[in-house]
Amino acid sequence: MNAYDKIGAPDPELAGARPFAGNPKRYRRLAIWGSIVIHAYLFFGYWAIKTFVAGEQFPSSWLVPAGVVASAIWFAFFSYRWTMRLDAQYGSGSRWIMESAQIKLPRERSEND
Amino acid sequence: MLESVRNFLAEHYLQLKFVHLLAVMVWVWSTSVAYAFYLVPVFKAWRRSSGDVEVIRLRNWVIERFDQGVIYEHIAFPVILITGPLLFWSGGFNSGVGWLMLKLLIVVGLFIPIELTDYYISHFGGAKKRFRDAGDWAGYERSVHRHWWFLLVTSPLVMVAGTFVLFLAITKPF
Repeated sequence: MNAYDKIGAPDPELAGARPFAGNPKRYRRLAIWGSIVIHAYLFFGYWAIKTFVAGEQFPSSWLVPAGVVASAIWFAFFSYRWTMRLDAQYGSGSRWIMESAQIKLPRERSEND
Repeated sequence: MLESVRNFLAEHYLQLKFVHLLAVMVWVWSTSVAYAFYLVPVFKAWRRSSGDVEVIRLRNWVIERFDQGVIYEHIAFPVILITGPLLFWSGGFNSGVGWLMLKLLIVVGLFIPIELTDYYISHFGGAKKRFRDAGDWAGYERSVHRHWWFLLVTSPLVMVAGTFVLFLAITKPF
Protein backbone atom coordinates (compact mmCIF):
# COMPACT_ATOMS: atom_id res chain seq x y z
CA MET A 1 0.00 0.00 0.00
CA ASN A 2 1.57 3.31 -1.03
CA ALA A 3 0.84 6.82 0.18
CA TYR A 4 -1.83 7.22 -2.45
CA ASP A 5 -3.75 4.18 -1.36
CA LYS A 6 -3.69 5.44 2.21
CA ILE A 7 -5.55 8.58 1.19
CA GLY A 8 -8.70 6.53 1.14
CA ALA A 9 -10.66 9.47 -0.10
CA PRO A 10 -13.78 8.98 -2.18
CA ASP A 11 -12.70 11.97 -4.24
CA PRO A 12 -11.45 10.52 -7.57
CA GLU A 13 -9.23 13.59 -8.04
CA LEU A 14 -7.10 12.30 -5.19
CA ALA A 15 -7.52 8.58 -5.74
CA GLY A 16 -6.10 9.03 -9.27
CA ALA A 17 -2.84 10.44 -7.90
CA ARG A 18 0.28 8.39 -8.68
CA PRO A 19 4.02 8.74 -7.99
CA PHE A 20 6.05 10.80 -10.46
CA ALA A 21 8.57 8.84 -12.55
CA GLY A 22 11.35 11.45 -12.58
CA ASN A 23 14.60 10.67 -10.77
CA PRO A 24 18.23 11.94 -10.77
CA LYS A 25 19.45 9.18 -13.08
CA ARG A 26 16.91 10.08 -15.74
CA TYR A 27 17.61 13.78 -15.34
CA ARG A 28 21.34 13.23 -15.78
CA ARG A 29 20.80 11.18 -18.93
CA LEU A 30 18.43 13.80 -20.32
CA ALA A 31 20.83 16.64 -19.53
CA ILE A 32 23.81 14.96 -21.21
CA TRP A 33 22.04 13.71 -24.33
CA GLY A 34 19.91 16.85 -24.61
CA SER A 35 23.00 19.04 -24.52
CA ILE A 36 24.81 16.91 -27.12
CA VAL A 37 21.84 16.84 -29.51
CA ILE A 38 21.12 20.58 -29.21
CA HIS A 39 24.74 21.61 -29.71
CA ALA A 40 25.19 19.22 -32.63
CA TYR A 41 22.02 20.57 -34.23
CA LEU A 42 23.14 24.19 -33.84
CA PHE A 43 26.71 23.59 -34.97
CA PHE A 44 25.89 21.50 -38.03
CA GLY A 45 22.82 23.58 -38.86
CA TYR A 46 24.91 26.75 -38.83
CA TRP A 47 27.65 25.01 -40.80
CA ALA A 48 25.11 23.90 -43.43
CA ILE A 49 23.66 27.41 -43.80
CA LYS A 50 27.07 29.03 -44.03
CA THR A 51 28.50 26.45 -46.41
CA PHE A 52 25.61 25.64 -48.72
CA VAL A 53 23.44 28.76 -48.60
CA ALA A 54 25.78 31.65 -47.86
CA GLY A 55 28.78 30.05 -49.57
CA GLU A 56 31.14 31.01 -46.78
CA GLN A 57 33.92 29.18 -44.97
CA PHE A 58 32.82 27.86 -41.55
CA PRO A 59 34.27 27.35 -39.03
CA SER A 60 36.97 29.89 -39.57
CA SER A 61 39.03 28.80 -36.57
CA TRP A 62 39.41 25.89 -34.16
CA LEU A 63 38.04 28.18 -31.43
CA VAL A 64 34.50 27.70 -32.76
CA PRO A 65 34.26 23.89 -32.32
CA ALA A 66 36.19 24.20 -29.04
CA GLY A 67 33.64 26.75 -27.83
CA VAL A 68 30.77 24.49 -28.87
CA VAL A 69 32.24 21.56 -26.93
CA ALA A 70 32.82 23.76 -23.87
CA SER A 71 29.27 25.09 -24.13
CA ALA A 72 27.85 21.55 -24.42
CA ILE A 73 29.70 20.44 -21.28
CA TRP A 74 28.61 23.53 -19.37
CA PHE A 75 24.97 23.23 -20.48
CA ALA A 76 24.80 19.55 -19.50
CA PHE A 77 25.92 20.48 -15.97
CA PHE A 78 23.69 23.54 -15.83
CA SER A 79 20.53 21.83 -17.04
CA TYR A 80 21.06 18.83 -14.74
CA ARG A 81 21.45 21.04 -11.69
CA TRP A 82 18.51 23.22 -12.76
CA THR A 83 16.24 20.20 -13.23
CA MET A 84 17.30 18.70 -9.91
CA ARG A 85 16.67 21.97 -8.10
CA LEU A 86 13.34 22.47 -9.86
CA ASP A 87 12.20 18.98 -8.95
CA ALA A 88 13.09 19.49 -5.26
CA GLN A 89 15.86 16.87 -5.36
CA TYR A 90 18.28 19.09 -3.45
CA GLY A 91 17.83 20.09 0.17
CA SER A 92 15.09 19.16 2.57
CA GLY A 93 12.71 22.02 1.91
CA SER A 94 13.21 23.18 5.48
CA ARG A 95 13.04 26.82 4.40
CA TRP A 96 9.34 26.26 3.73
CA ILE A 97 6.59 25.43 6.17
CA MET A 98 3.43 23.59 5.24
CA GLU A 99 0.35 25.12 6.77
CA SER A 100 -2.89 23.27 6.55
CA ALA A 101 -5.77 25.53 5.64
CA GLN A 102 -9.42 25.11 4.81
CA ILE A 103 -9.99 27.13 1.68
CA LYS A 104 -12.11 27.19 -1.45
CA LEU A 105 -10.29 26.97 -4.77
CA PRO A 106 -12.15 28.90 -7.47
CA ARG A 107 -12.68 27.12 -10.77
CA GLU A 108 -14.56 28.09 -13.88
CA ARG A 109 -17.76 26.17 -14.40
CA SER A 110 -17.52 23.23 -16.73
CA GLU A 111 -20.33 21.92 -18.95
CA ASN A 112 -21.05 19.24 -16.35
CA ASP A 113 -21.54 21.70 -13.45
CA MET B 1 2.50 43.42 -56.12
CA LEU B 2 4.92 41.63 -53.74
CA GLU B 3 7.47 44.36 -54.29
CA SER B 4 4.99 47.06 -53.31
CA VAL B 5 4.09 45.11 -50.13
CA ARG B 6 7.77 44.77 -49.36
CA ASN B 7 8.33 48.49 -49.92
CA PHE B 8 5.40 49.30 -47.66
CA LEU B 9 6.80 47.05 -44.91
CA ALA B 10 10.28 48.49 -45.37
CA GLU B 11 8.87 51.99 -44.88
CA HIS B 12 7.24 50.78 -41.66
CA TYR B 13 10.15 48.61 -40.54
CA LEU B 14 10.45 50.19 -37.10
CA GLN B 15 6.72 49.89 -36.42
CA LEU B 16 6.88 46.24 -37.44
CA LYS B 17 9.90 45.77 -35.19
CA PHE B 18 7.95 47.36 -32.33
CA VAL B 19 5.14 44.80 -32.74
CA HIS B 20 7.70 41.99 -32.95
CA LEU B 21 9.55 43.09 -29.81
CA LEU B 22 6.32 43.71 -27.90
CA ALA B 23 5.22 40.15 -28.72
CA VAL B 24 8.65 38.82 -27.70
CA MET B 25 8.36 40.57 -24.33
CA VAL B 26 4.90 39.12 -23.74
CA TRP B 27 6.10 35.69 -24.83
CA VAL B 28 9.15 35.78 -22.57
CA TRP B 29 7.74 37.34 -19.42
CA SER B 30 3.97 36.81 -19.28
CA THR B 31 4.15 33.57 -17.28
CA SER B 32 7.30 34.25 -15.29
CA VAL B 33 5.74 35.32 -11.97
CA ALA B 34 3.07 32.61 -12.06
CA TYR B 35 5.71 30.03 -12.91
CA ALA B 36 8.40 31.02 -10.41
CA PHE B 37 6.33 32.05 -7.42
CA TYR B 38 3.13 29.99 -7.67
CA LEU B 39 3.56 26.91 -9.82
CA VAL B 40 7.10 25.91 -8.84
CA PRO B 41 6.65 26.19 -5.03
CA VAL B 42 3.48 24.10 -5.18
CA PHE B 43 5.07 21.46 -7.40
CA LYS B 44 8.12 21.33 -5.15
CA ALA B 45 5.78 20.78 -2.21
CA TRP B 46 4.11 17.98 -4.18
CA ARG B 47 7.46 16.35 -4.98
CA ARG B 48 8.41 16.44 -1.31
CA SER B 49 4.97 15.42 -0.01
CA SER B 50 3.51 13.54 -2.93
CA GLY B 51 0.84 11.79 -0.89
CA ASP B 52 -0.51 14.91 0.79
CA VAL B 53 -4.16 15.37 -0.13
CA GLU B 54 -4.14 19.15 0.28
CA VAL B 55 -0.98 19.54 -1.78
CA ILE B 56 -2.44 17.42 -4.59
CA ARG B 57 -5.60 19.52 -4.66
CA LEU B 58 -3.55 22.72 -4.76
CA ARG B 59 -1.22 21.25 -7.43
CA ASN B 60 -4.21 20.47 -9.62
CA TRP B 61 -5.66 23.93 -9.14
CA VAL B 62 -2.35 25.64 -9.89
CA ILE B 63 -1.64 23.66 -13.05
CA GLU B 64 -5.16 24.31 -14.37
CA ARG B 65 -4.74 28.03 -13.74
CA PHE B 66 -1.35 27.85 -15.45
CA ASP B 67 -2.97 26.17 -18.47
CA GLN B 68 -5.08 29.30 -18.76
CA GLY B 69 -2.28 31.67 -17.80
CA VAL B 70 -0.16 30.74 -20.80
CA ILE B 71 -2.81 32.13 -23.15
CA TYR B 72 -0.98 35.48 -23.38
CA GLU B 73 2.23 33.66 -24.24
CA HIS B 74 0.44 31.58 -26.84
CA ILE B 75 -1.17 34.59 -28.48
CA ALA B 76 2.18 36.40 -28.59
CA PHE B 77 4.08 33.51 -30.17
CA PRO B 78 2.21 33.48 -33.52
CA VAL B 79 2.66 37.26 -33.68
CA ILE B 80 6.42 36.70 -33.36
CA LEU B 81 6.31 34.04 -36.07
CA ILE B 82 4.45 36.36 -38.45
CA THR B 83 6.37 39.57 -37.81
CA GLY B 84 9.79 37.87 -37.70
CA PRO B 85 9.78 36.67 -41.33
CA LEU B 86 8.26 40.00 -42.41
CA LEU B 87 11.18 41.80 -40.76
CA PHE B 88 13.60 39.42 -42.48
CA TRP B 89 11.96 40.02 -45.83
CA SER B 90 11.55 43.78 -45.59
CA GLY B 91 14.87 44.39 -43.86
CA GLY B 92 16.97 42.97 -46.67
CA PHE B 93 18.59 40.28 -44.54
CA ASN B 94 20.24 37.22 -46.05
CA SER B 95 22.00 34.02 -45.01
CA GLY B 96 25.29 35.88 -44.65
CA VAL B 97 24.05 37.52 -41.44
CA GLY B 98 25.50 35.11 -38.91
CA TRP B 99 23.75 36.19 -35.72
CA LEU B 100 20.36 36.05 -37.45
CA MET B 101 20.96 32.58 -38.88
CA LEU B 102 21.90 31.22 -35.46
CA LYS B 103 18.87 32.93 -33.92
CA LEU B 104 16.60 31.41 -36.57
CA LEU B 105 18.07 27.95 -35.96
CA ILE B 106 17.19 28.30 -32.28
CA VAL B 107 13.69 29.60 -33.00
CA VAL B 108 12.84 27.01 -35.65
CA GLY B 109 14.54 23.98 -34.12
CA LEU B 110 13.97 24.60 -30.41
CA PHE B 111 11.33 27.21 -29.67
CA ILE B 112 8.71 26.17 -32.23
CA PRO B 113 8.67 22.48 -31.17
CA ILE B 114 8.60 23.52 -27.50
CA GLU B 115 5.69 25.88 -28.09
CA LEU B 116 3.75 23.37 -30.19
CA THR B 117 4.07 20.89 -27.33
CA ASP B 118 3.03 23.59 -24.88
CA TYR B 119 -0.07 24.42 -26.96
CA TYR B 120 -1.03 20.76 -26.90
CA ILE B 121 -0.54 20.13 -23.19
CA SER B 122 -2.08 23.44 -22.12
CA HIS B 123 -5.05 23.92 -24.45
CA PHE B 124 -5.73 20.83 -26.53
CA GLY B 125 -5.35 17.10 -25.83
CA GLY B 126 -3.31 17.58 -22.68
CA ALA B 127 -5.38 20.34 -21.07
CA LYS B 128 -6.18 19.29 -17.50
CA LYS B 129 -9.67 20.79 -17.51
CA ARG B 130 -10.64 18.45 -20.37
CA PHE B 131 -9.77 15.44 -18.24
CA ARG B 132 -11.57 16.92 -15.24
CA ASP B 133 -14.70 17.56 -17.31
CA ALA B 134 -14.54 14.02 -18.70
CA GLY B 135 -14.06 12.55 -15.22
CA ASP B 136 -10.90 10.82 -16.46
CA TRP B 137 -8.76 11.12 -13.34
CA ALA B 138 -6.12 8.65 -14.43
CA GLY B 139 -5.73 10.71 -17.60
CA TYR B 140 -5.71 13.86 -15.51
CA GLU B 141 -2.81 12.58 -13.42
CA ARG B 142 -0.90 11.46 -16.52
CA SER B 143 -1.42 14.90 -18.01
CA VAL B 144 -0.12 16.66 -14.89
CA HIS B 145 2.95 14.43 -14.88
CA ARG B 146 3.52 15.05 -18.59
CA HIS B 147 3.29 18.80 -18.00
CA TRP B 148 5.81 18.59 -15.16
CA TRP B 149 8.18 16.57 -17.36
CA PHE B 150 7.80 19.25 -20.01
CA LEU B 151 8.66 22.02 -17.55
CA LEU B 152 11.59 20.11 -16.05
CA VAL B 153 13.13 19.45 -19.46
CA THR B 154 12.44 22.76 -21.17
CA SER B 155 13.01 25.30 -18.36
CA PRO B 156 16.84 25.31 -18.43
CA LEU B 157 16.85 25.28 -22.22
CA VAL B 158 14.38 28.15 -22.52
CA MET B 159 16.29 30.23 -19.97
CA VAL B 160 19.65 29.82 -21.71
CA ALA B 161 18.46 29.83 -25.32
CA GLY B 162 16.05 32.73 -24.68
CA THR B 163 18.77 34.85 -23.13
CA PHE B 164 21.17 33.93 -25.95
CA VAL B 165 18.62 34.87 -28.61
CA LEU B 166 18.05 38.27 -26.97
CA PHE B 167 21.84 38.75 -26.79
CA LEU B 168 22.22 37.90 -30.48
CA ALA B 169 19.35 40.16 -31.54
CA ILE B 170 20.57 43.16 -29.54
CA THR B 171 24.35 42.97 -29.93
CA LYS B 172 24.48 41.39 -33.43
CA PRO B 173 27.97 40.07 -32.65
CA PHE B 174 28.82 38.43 -36.01
